[in-house]
Amino acid sequence: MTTIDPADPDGLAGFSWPSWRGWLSNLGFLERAFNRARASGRAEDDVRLRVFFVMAMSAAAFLALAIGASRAALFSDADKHKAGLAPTRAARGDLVDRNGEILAMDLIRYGLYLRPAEITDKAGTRAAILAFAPNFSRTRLDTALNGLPLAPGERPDPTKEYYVGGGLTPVLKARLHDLALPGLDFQEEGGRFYPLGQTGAHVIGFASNDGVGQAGAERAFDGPIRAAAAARGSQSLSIDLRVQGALQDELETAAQHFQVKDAVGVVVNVRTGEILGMASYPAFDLNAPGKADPAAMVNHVGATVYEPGSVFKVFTLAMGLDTGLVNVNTVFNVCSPLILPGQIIHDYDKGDCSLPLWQVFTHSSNIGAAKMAIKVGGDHEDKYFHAFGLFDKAPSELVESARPLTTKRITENSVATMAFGHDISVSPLAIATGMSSILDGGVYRPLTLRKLEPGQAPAPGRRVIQASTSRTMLNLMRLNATDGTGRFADAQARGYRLGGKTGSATKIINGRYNHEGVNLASFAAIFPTDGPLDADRYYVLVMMDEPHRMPETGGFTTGGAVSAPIAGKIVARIAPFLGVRRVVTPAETGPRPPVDPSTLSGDER
Amino acid sequence: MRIPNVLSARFRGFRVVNLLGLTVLLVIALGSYALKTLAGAQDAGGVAIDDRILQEQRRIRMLRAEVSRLGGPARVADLSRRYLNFGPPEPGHEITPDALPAIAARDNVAATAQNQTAAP
Repeated sequence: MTTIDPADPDGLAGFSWPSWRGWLSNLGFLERAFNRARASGRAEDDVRLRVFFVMAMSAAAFLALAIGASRAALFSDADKHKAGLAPTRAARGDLVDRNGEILAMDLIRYGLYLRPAEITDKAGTRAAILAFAPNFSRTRLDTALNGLPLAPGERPDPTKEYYVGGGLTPVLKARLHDLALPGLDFQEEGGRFYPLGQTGAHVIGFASNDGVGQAGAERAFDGPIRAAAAARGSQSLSIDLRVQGALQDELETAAQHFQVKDAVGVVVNVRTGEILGMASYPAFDLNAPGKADPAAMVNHVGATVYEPGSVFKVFTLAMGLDTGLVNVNTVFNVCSPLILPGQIIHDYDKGDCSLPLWQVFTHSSNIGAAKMAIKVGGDHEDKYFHAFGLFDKAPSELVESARPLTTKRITENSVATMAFGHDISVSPLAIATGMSSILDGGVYRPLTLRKLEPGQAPAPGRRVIQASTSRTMLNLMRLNATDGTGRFADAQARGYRLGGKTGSATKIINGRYNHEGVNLASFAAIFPTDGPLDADRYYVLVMMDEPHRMPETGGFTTGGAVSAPIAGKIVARIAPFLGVRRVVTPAETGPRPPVDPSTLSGDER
Repeated sequence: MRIPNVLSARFRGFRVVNLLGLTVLLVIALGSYALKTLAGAQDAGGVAIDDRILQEQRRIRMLRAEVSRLGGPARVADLSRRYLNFGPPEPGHEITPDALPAIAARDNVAATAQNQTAAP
């Protein structure tokens, strides 16, 4: 018989709570307590203990579940998995110019689908759709409304869903949706939008419907643009939209006026190597690249190579002066044509006979430049032209950078002809890159479409000519704009201390040089030519391919007559945006003093 | 009070510990339900706000695109040429702020001279 101790009715005297730490290891204690209770005939203690234990465990489990449920409810991470907000694989970030102006962006638009079986008022639906989307194809709309077969031989199926058209803005979609017309369905369709249309078409480039860059910066920066989408940011280009607009406006106006085959324009900050503007004519609408003429989609700045003509004398003179074998006063006899094996080199007849080197430049004498190159030697020409990057495709983020066409072997003929930009075909981008290295103090650095942040140092580059040679070339460029073949450029950009070099390359037509005015008319400008060598300085290259004769140019199709004024107009328009102030002095407008050659040579160390 | 006494105490025939346990369970269950309901409502509100933010962001992007299109240099140049006969400034059209007083003074002199000429 079981006796109950009044002082301990539950028989739990001596029972103590095990520490939490010992719970797991002391589970056996409970079982032993149950056994002891049974063995001592106190079955109710056994049951009581077991009930208490089960209840405690249930409470603990429930508490754990409650805490978990509360946590899940209060601190939900569902937002992290919202497909509507997460960037998709094809998403692309905004492409902006150096000032944050939008060049390209992803925009949500909607495609309209019709289910003809559900449409009772076909005429009313047709009128409503065309009222909001007048550009939709009538044929496609009627096909969809009537459930007609889409392809010959196909059976009519009014239960099918037909695609009518896309590109509906959210506002248009909402208005159509609010009409509550039966049988209309809208599907979200992502798309790339280029708000500027044709402006900067070649440099911006475009992306495919699935969001892959196909050309221009869209292709060059495909990875960073996608990464920008993931980070909800944007990719900045070095392009300045204001510069781009002025460049393209002047270039296209002139190209249409002169009815050229194609034309290019580039603006570069030579100190940093940033490309501020790049235009190729003809242009195309970035929002409809599929409808564009394939020829118009070629970026002639990088993808086309030209025999550049006399703008190459900038390279030739820089080479000669930098070697120290000639100076600005070295005289060359240009009285008679230069006769080489199988080749005769002429000058435009200016009545010249003996010209110092500075006049070889300002008169753009082919004979003088060729004789100087021969005097300096083929080895030097090879070395310097390599250093200027003229024998390689221009290093650029753009994939549209063509390899030059060069002579296989350096001969006396090629040394002479390359001196004035024949026997070699290079892209305008390569010319701009090489010439920037001459005008920036003598350091070659690839031109870039990446924006340099304020205070960010430009790429270090490599020195190709001495600083003093760079200064001399700036002086010669300025002299050529005031007293030489570049006068028409300076006339359009008074006060901006513009310098430049003309080029009039005779084109090869049917395998022969055409001497009837079919030219590549070029002008390479730099401004301002004064100031420290490490100051911001801007290079403008304009090339017009096969301009027609016009009365206002006296029928000339040369670089000085055609391209120099265009470059001058561009400089006058972009200089205020670039912080270059116009300084008009009496010397600018009055009669020019005689040239003092002693002031031309640079003395920078 | 010793723990065993607490465990054996009764209230109207029910063990206090059982009643306490039941109360705790009910509080936890009801509390969890209430929290979940409250959180669900707030979550729904959050989703609606997220959706509105998304729509607003899309609208803002659309407006940015429109502003960019309307302010494109080619369009502005074309409009200003066509309707305002504007063009790139000539050197004579440019002036620095410090030269403005001189121009104002010149204009005043001219206006005074004109008034004197017009007077009988």
